[in-house]
Amino acid sequence: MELSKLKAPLFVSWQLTRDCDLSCLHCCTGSAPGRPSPNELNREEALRLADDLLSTGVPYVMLCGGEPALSPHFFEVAERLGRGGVQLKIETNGQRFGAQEARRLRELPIRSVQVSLDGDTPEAYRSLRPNGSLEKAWLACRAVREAGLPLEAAFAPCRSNIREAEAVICRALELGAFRFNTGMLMRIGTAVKFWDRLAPTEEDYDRFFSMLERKEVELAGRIEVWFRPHSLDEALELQLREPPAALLVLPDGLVKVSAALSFICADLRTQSVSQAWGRYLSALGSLKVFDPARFRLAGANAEAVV
Amino acid sequence: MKLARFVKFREEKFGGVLFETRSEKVYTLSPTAAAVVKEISAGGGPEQVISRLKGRYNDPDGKLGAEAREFIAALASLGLVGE
Repeated sequence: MELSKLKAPLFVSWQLTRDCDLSCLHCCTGSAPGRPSPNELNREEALRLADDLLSTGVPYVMLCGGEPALSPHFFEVAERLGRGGVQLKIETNGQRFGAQEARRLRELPIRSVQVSLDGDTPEAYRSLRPNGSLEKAWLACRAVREAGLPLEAAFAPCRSNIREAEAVICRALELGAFRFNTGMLMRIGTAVKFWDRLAPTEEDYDRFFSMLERKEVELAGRIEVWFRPHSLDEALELQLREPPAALLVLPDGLVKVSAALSFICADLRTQSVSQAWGRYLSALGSLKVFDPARFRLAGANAEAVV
Repeated sequence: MKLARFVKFREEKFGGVLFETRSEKVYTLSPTAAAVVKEISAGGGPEQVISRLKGRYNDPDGKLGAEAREFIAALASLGLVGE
């Protein structure tokens, strides 16, 4: 599909806030408690953006963070979009997502709620999420399913939890998830700082991907095991070959061309979604002149290329 | 008959797109296919959809009806429409 023929993006990933209630060592967005981005969109600006997404016909929006539920206007934004017919995916750590929150979302066209399950024992989970509760994450999953909402589980493999991945898949299945999402740990955000401590070894990854391939077949029809593309590098190469009709919106309204690059192509505080879409298409044109191999850098350094 | 739960339709200058958000698959539609999907979104069974299409467009040789029926069957086989 030729993207330039589309009048607007088909998907928007909207990081509502960088603020989070957990201090995860492997966080890909550099989120932590009390650390919203400077100059995040306020309620009026966020609702204006939601209206703009509706009027341009964006069919699918993911609300993420940080922890999106920490944004004071999370539900208002979700309801504005959902009542306008936009399908929603919510990414949460599940620490403050219970029956009440799930019931409120039940009225909306929720495509899925994704809960991070980075371990199957409290020890492994807390080794990455020091102040987090695995029990609360499980309760969030149950609340999602009890409200009749589709559940996805996410798993970031690190040295301290990678051996629990198979158990987490089984847990996700038991909790009623339709999909288990994973891939190699991303060297961006907070993870850069702790990389030497976090990064699994090559042997760990070999075992991990063999296990995923086996589980993908074994559990076909019961839960989808998604792990391709394997890494940020592969995702970036794929994006250059087949650019997605997607905008990545940061908490302050800036628009990134790719999760792996800090290259900004538009500002939704001053520009419309249609204008941002045009800027994104132009930016993709510029990216294509680069050899993907040049992006084969640690993610945090990839911005240097652009 | 209606679009399946996770399927969204958007009109475009070239016709339209169907977006299956669960699998994140995108299907591009010709103007004719987009017209069929628009009628499906308006509701009713396959024959009602085809009847409305025939009322809206000329179909002297019945070709439109046959093609629409075939297209609706293809959408159903892909799980893009349901009851």
